[in-house]
Formats: sequence, C-alpha cells, structure tokens
Amino acid sequence: MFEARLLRSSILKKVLEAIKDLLTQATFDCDDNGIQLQAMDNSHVSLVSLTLRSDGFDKYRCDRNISMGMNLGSMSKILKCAGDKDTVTIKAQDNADTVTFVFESPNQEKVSDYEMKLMNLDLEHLGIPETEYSCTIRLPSAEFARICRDLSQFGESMVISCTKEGVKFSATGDIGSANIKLAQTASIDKEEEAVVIEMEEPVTLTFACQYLNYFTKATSLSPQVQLSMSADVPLVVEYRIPDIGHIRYYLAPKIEEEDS
Amino acid sequence: MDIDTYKSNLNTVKELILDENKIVTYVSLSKDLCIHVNDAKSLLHQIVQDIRKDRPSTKLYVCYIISGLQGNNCGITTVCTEDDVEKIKKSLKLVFYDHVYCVSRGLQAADNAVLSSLNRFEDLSLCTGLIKSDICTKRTENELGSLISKKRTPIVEPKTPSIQHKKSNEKVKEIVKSSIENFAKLSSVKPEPKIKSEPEKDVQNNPKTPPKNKNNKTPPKSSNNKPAGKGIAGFFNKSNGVSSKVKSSEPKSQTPVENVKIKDEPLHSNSNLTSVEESPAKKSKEVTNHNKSLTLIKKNAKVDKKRKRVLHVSDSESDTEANDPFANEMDVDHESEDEIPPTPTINTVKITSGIVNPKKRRKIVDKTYTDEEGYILTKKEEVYESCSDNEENTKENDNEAKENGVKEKNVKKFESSKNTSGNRDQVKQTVINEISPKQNKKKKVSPTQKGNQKTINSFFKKL
Repeated sequence: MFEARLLRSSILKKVLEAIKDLLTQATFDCDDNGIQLQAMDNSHVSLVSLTLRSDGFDKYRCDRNISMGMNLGSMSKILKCAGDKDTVTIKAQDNADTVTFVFESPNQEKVSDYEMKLMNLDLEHLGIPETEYSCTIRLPSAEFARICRDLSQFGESMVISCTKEGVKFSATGDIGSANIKLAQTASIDKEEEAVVIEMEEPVTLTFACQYLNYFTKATSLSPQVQLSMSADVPLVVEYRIPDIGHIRYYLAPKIEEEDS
Repeated sequence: MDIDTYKSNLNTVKELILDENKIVTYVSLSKDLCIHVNDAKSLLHQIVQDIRKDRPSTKLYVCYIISGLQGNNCGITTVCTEDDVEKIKKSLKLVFYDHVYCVSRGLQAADNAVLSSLNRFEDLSLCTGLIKSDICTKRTENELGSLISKKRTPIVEPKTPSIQHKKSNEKVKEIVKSSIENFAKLSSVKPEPKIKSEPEKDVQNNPKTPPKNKNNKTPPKSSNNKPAGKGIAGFFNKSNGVSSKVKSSEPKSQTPVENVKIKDEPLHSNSNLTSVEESPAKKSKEVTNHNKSLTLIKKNAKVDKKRKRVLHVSDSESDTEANDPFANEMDVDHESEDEIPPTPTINTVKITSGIVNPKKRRKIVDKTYTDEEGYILTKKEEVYESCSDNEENTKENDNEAKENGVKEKNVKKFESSKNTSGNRDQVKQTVINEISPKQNKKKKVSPTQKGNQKTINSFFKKL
C-alpha cells in the first residue's frame, strides 16, 4: 500500500506543470525515502530528475517500493480538478494498476477522488555521476526565465558564458544579437534576489533555448534557480522545492565539431 | 437597352409569368435582368399589353402602385389591384405616379407573404436606379411571419407642400424606404380612419376613371381585392416597423396589394433625381456609391471573365460552375491571348439572379478583343460572380463598401493564387532567395547554431 498526503495540492500541481511540457509520461518511483522521478524527453536531449522527500509529506506510507507509470497529461488534468488549498492524497495498492488521487477541501466539506490507470513503462534510469562543476550560478528564477524568454527570440541557441566578471547569456539570430550580463550581487539584502557565482574556471557552453524555456516552467516552485556548468557536460538547472525536495533538469550542450 | 436585349428580356419575363407562373415585380425584374427599375416598369407594362393582346384568354393579375396627394394634403402611396386603380386615383387630389407593381398569371398577387419573400431586402441594392432611404431596416423573419397574419389598415402620412410640388412633376420612381418608415411612425402615431377604409370605400364609391395603364383590365379584380387588402394592410403596418426580408429601403416592392404607404419621399423622374424631402446629397451619395460598387464589380468580373454566358434566367444550371472558384482559374488559362482585359464601363450592371441563386451575381461586362485582322472589338458579355451572404445582409452603404472590400480581396487572392500556380517556380525561387540569405546569415553569424546538439545518453550511462 502506498499513500502520500500533501497539505497543499499546489506543490504537486506546480511540479506537474514543470514537467508535463517536457515529458509525456514518466515513472514515479516510490520508496521509503520518498518519490523520485527520472525521465528523458523524447529526443533524449534533456533529463528531468524530481525528488520529493517523504518527510515533506504530511503523511507518507510506502509498504513496498512501487513504480507507477503515469501519463502526465492525464495526471495534470486530474490535478487541475484540485483547488490550490486542497489536501491531496495519492493512494495505490500494491501491484495495482490504478492510482487514486483524493482531494479534500480545507474544511473537509468537499472530498473528491479520481482514479487513473497506470502504465507499464520501460525503466531507463541513467546513472548521473557526481560531478564537481566548474561554475555554479544562483540567480532569481524569474530573472532566469526572463532571460531565456528574451533570448529565445533571437535564436534557437543560447550561449552561457561564465567568467570572473560574471555570467553572460547571449544569442544571435536573423534580427541581430542579444547579450545579457549578470554580475555577482555586491550586497545581499535578500538572498532570493541575489546573483551568486562560484567559479573555479571559466566555462562557455551553448544550449538550446527551447529546452531552457521548458525548464523555466518550474519557476513557480522556487524563487531561486541554480545553474551548474562544466565544460562538455550537461548543464544542470536546479529548482529547490522548499521543505520537500528539488527538481533538476539536465541539458546536453551543443558542441561544435572540430572539423567545422 | 438595345432592341435585341429588350426583346430577349421581354421573352424572358413572359416565360416567367406564363410558363413558370411566377409573380414578377418590377423590383425582381430589375434585379434579375440587371436593368434599370424604370426599364423594368415599362417592360412590365409592355408585357401586360402584349399578353392581353396576343392571348386574350390568359388571365393576368396586375397590381399597381399609386402615389399621390389626398384632399387633406396627406401623401399616400398604395399598392392596389387593377380594379381599384381608378377609384384611388379619383380620390387623390394629385397623382404623383402610378405604374405596374407586379404581374402574375391568374394568381391573386395580394399575398403579402409571397410578395415579401419575392422582393428581398438584400436584393434592393442590386436594382439599378432604385432609390432607397437610409432609414430602411430589414425585418426579421419572425416579424414578417407574425405580420402576415395580421390585418391592418392603411396608414396615411401627411405630406408637406413643398414635397408635393416636386413630386407632381415626376412619375415613376418611388422611394420606398421613407414611406415605410413613415408608415411605421404613423401606424403608432397617426392612424387615420379615413385612410384605413380608403381602399374599400374607393371601390364602392368612386366611379371608375381611366387608369394610366390601359392594359389593366382583368376579371378577378373584385374578388381578389378583399382578402388581399386586409392581409396586406396588416402586413404593411407591421412591416413598416421592421421587416426581415425586405428592408425599408425598397419595401414598396414587398408590399401588399391594396395598401397604402405614406410617403415623404421624393419622387424621381426617369433621368432626373429630384429629391424632395430627403436631402439630395444623400441620394447623390447613394448613386455614386452604387456606381462605385458597379465599378468594383466590373473589376471583379476580370476574375470571372472567362465565363461567357448568354443572358438567360434559369433556375439552377449555372450554380455549380459559377460557384466553383477553380472553374474560374481554369477558364483564365484557356483565355485567348488576344483578349484584352475587360474594360470596366459604367454600363456594367450587377445582377443578382434571385431566380437562379441569390448568392450569384450576373454582371454585364464590356470585354475587348483583338480579332484576326487586328481590329479591337468590344463585346458585352455576362459573367457570373458568387457573393457571400454577408455582403447581401448588410445595409446598402455598408453593403457597397463591404462588397468592394470583399471583392477586392477576392481579386487579390485570385491574383495571388494565379501567381502561385502559374509562376510557382519563380515564386519558390524568390522565396528561397529571401529565406536562404537569412539562413546563410544565421549559419554564418551565429556560432550558436554551429554546435551539434548532443544527447543526454552520451553523458550519462544506463544503470
């Protein structure tokens, strides 16, 4: 028996919003530690890793490890039926082929449950090595979303260049070129609004704007986003979900071939 | 109108009346044959005479429309049966005009519903030379339906002396719209008992006077009048307010057999537009607008120029062809190289053949050709053009403007489609030329694009 109860359905709703554009279906792996999801997009350019710790739930019970393959579109439709302040409970029997979402209004006057069929999905878990990244940039998530949105108008790709002066986002296209430079914040009044750069060595990588824009769907989950880069490894875009976990996006860079 | 056209029109109308047993009004005639309303009136008159002469045994039901000034200086416009013409004229102090309103074979044309459905508001704008008031509005179907069943008395409208003078000189064209409006107003405000009873009284009391139209001598008159008059009266009153099919502008045509409309309107003679109460400016605007629309239609005719048809009013045949946009394109391809694009002329008239298909318009277009010897020949040819409902439904001015807009668009579309089909290669090339430099630029300019997108699998291995 699996049962996980969240006091606010809004967190789960935001999580779904953050991944449903990138993934159509995914497997939620539930164990004693919590719920984890790892999946690549269809083109295998990006990877999503979601962790919701068990201690972040109001009530969490997982008698046996269970993997629930879900259609994220269907799941999103169900979660849209929940109010933001509703309590959501995810229930599944061991070896069951369905999962049930129960939404309870704050005053308990309204209780609704939705049952969704589970899917058998091929598990393709990738081993993500622990990496010491050359650059780590923390900036307001809204700022990052704005940068991605603005630069995607100029070209399909964005160059993120981190130096000791700061971080530069640039794009070039038919209409011209765009450069956005962020310097490290001098005085940190509010940690959430700060731009913090930790750099061991300069890194410049090129990424597809489209995917970055998908990642920014998670902006509402966290006020800050952390970008981790090293040469010739995927970019990590991490949103920490307060009190419960995080969602990490991995994006493979575009690498210029030596021949050209 | 040359003699040939006149004769063919005459035959067409005869066929409509005698063979198809249709009710023909001068409005429908003007619209279907694409002729001036005045020509339509005289055509109807001629037909009545001809039929009665050639086929005395054939019973014709003829309605007249009469406008004049009553003893109390109130203007009145009424549609009546042949029998009542003289009585009504006698009762009038001054007759502005009277002419044939509609003709049908052996039918009692007094059926309001039939008349109202025959002369649709949308068609009024297609009648050349018809004067329509801006105030005219279209009545709803419900309104018409309910009106038909009600019997109402005729309404009289007071006329101003100034109007009378002007009107007195002119015949023929009536302005329906204003009369209709007035009608509505009067019905609620100034119903006069005298007038209401007018038709009946006239019939009984007035000795018959020689009608203008000598042609009108038909038997079924008296019997027809009663039912028609009541039904029509009712119809008229309501219709004055708002009619679904017929808009105020030319509602005269819709009308009722017996009754009376009161007018403030100006009469206009055959060639001169004498505006009476309504500002002449408005009329002139209407006329110019109309001309503009005609010109545009002519332009559009270019699109359809391949379609050459003999002027013939038929019920169904041409629909498919005329409505088929591809057919037009095909035709264009077949067009002789010698042909010079049709010259828009003022003579071009748009016709909506209500008989055939209300969404189709037949136009007469002047086309210029060069013959083998190098002479330039100009021929008048008819072309069909489909028009949308939207165009028809809008008010006259709006109509014209919209029609123009829509047609221009159509022409543009057509031209563009022509281009794409005919010069595809060129278009493609130009497109490529336009795009390729950009793409090249992209590749050159943005180093970003150079990179190959790697996949996650190349970095992370499966467990």
